[in-house]
Amino acid sequence: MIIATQGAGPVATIDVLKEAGVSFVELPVEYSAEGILNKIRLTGSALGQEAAAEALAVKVSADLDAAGAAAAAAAGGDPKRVLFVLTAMGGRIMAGGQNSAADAIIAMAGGVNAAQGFDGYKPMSAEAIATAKPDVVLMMTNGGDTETTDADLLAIPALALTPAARTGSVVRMNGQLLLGFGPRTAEGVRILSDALYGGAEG
Amino acid sequence: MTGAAHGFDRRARARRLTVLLALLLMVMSVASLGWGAAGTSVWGAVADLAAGRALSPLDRLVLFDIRLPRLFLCILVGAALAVSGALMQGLFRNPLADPGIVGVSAGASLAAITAIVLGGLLPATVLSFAGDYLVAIAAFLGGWASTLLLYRVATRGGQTSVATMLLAGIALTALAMALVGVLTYLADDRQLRDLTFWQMGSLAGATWPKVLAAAPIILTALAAAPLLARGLNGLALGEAAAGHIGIPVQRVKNMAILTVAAATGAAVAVSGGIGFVGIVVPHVLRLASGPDHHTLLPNAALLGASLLLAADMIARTVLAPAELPIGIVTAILGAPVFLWILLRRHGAMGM
Repeated sequence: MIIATQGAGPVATIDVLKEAGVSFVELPVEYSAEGILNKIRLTGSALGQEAAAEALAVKVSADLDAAGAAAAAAAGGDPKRVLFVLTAMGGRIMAGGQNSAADAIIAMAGGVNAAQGFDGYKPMSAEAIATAKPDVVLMMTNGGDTETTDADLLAIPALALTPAARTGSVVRMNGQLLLGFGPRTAEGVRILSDALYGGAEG
Repeated sequence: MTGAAHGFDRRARARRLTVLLALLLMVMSVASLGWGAAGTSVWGAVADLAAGRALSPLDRLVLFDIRLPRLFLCILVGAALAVSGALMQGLFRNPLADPGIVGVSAGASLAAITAIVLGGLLPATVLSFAGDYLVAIAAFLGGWASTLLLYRVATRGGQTSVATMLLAGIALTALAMALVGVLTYLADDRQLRDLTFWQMGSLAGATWPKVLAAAPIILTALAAAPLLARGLNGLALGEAAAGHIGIPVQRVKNMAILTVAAATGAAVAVSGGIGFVGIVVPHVLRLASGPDHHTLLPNAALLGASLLLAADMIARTVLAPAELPIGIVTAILGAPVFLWILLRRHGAMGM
């Protein structure tokens, strides 16, 4: 049996596998609490473990609701503007726009995505970043072979004048926790919310 | 050289064109400074400065730390690519030659992509020394290494065969692209995105340190290019004839190859893969004012810079707040215009 995410490819390979009689389950990609529960239930039914999946779904759902409510409460009426930076190679910032996992998790953690006006992960114009005024820069830690240091990142002209650079606010998180949209997402929401609103505001 | 009167005419025309192109570059530069996603106006800033008012920090940042370095980098890269293209076409006496042909682009791509994908395996001291410039440094060294390798392959007994160089360049490019394929296979999602965008080129992330690193190399190459004009004009007659009229053929070849490697290597290092400028600019100019390298080379520098400025203005505003890779813009704008010019001037293809 093969469990894949939506859009797994190449198409020809998938077709060969399906024709070979391998049972093939495709999980839809949707960046929301509903999407996570959906994936858990579909995986459960694919494995014939509906009851266990339902139990996990109920637990994850409650966990997500609690984490979301706590994050919203922590944000209060003053959500922070968060810029998700996928990579900053050579001073070129690739940011997470709408309809991305980054956009969804920022909202769930009580923040506002500072990168507005484009979908997915794209190189964002330096001037647009300077005027977007992010309070916090969010990055992933894993896969960081050529990791950009905080000092290098905040010295990029586009970021130099932003509130994030003034306060030195760079949050780095495990990529799977942040963008995976699985059972651990509630934990990711809590960590991100703590990083955004913890400490100073207590 | 029959038809001296005709030749004279074209030379005067080419000189007038130089003046026009210089004016165009100035207009494009001012337009580029005043145009951008932030809505900062260069006139407002000039008025503020003239009135003795302090610029707002954001305006100052946008003008002096984002747009101005990008403007200079754009001019340098555009001029470097166009002049390199003109030199290569002159040297190879082949209208299809572009800087990519001496293997600079392939070598630089391979090295840059290796740095993106495998850079993390380097010792920490190298990483911390190179910092954010690892990819740029790798691209420059890769471009040089592949050019020198090709040059050695093509040189036998002190004579460089341009035909061997051309063919070996194709082989080397194929090999480099295969290795790029292997690295693409090894890359993770994030590296894949980085390397794809690197190959499409961008002038985003231009900073003063980058301008100051690229400027000496590119300016030296641009200054050296006009010295080759007479030699390249002679080479148009064929290598043997050029030798007979007193052109130091081997020295012209050496200098042309090294100049192109330096200019293109530096340009590719700071901007990634930007295609088409090196082909389209010299051809448009040859059609407009003839193939004399004395005027072609400076005109190519001016037009290449203006063209890249225009492409960059489109690249950074058309999808704002996102950015389009500039290589896409140069190809989309350049290819149809080039085809149209070729079709319209069908009879003038012989040059």
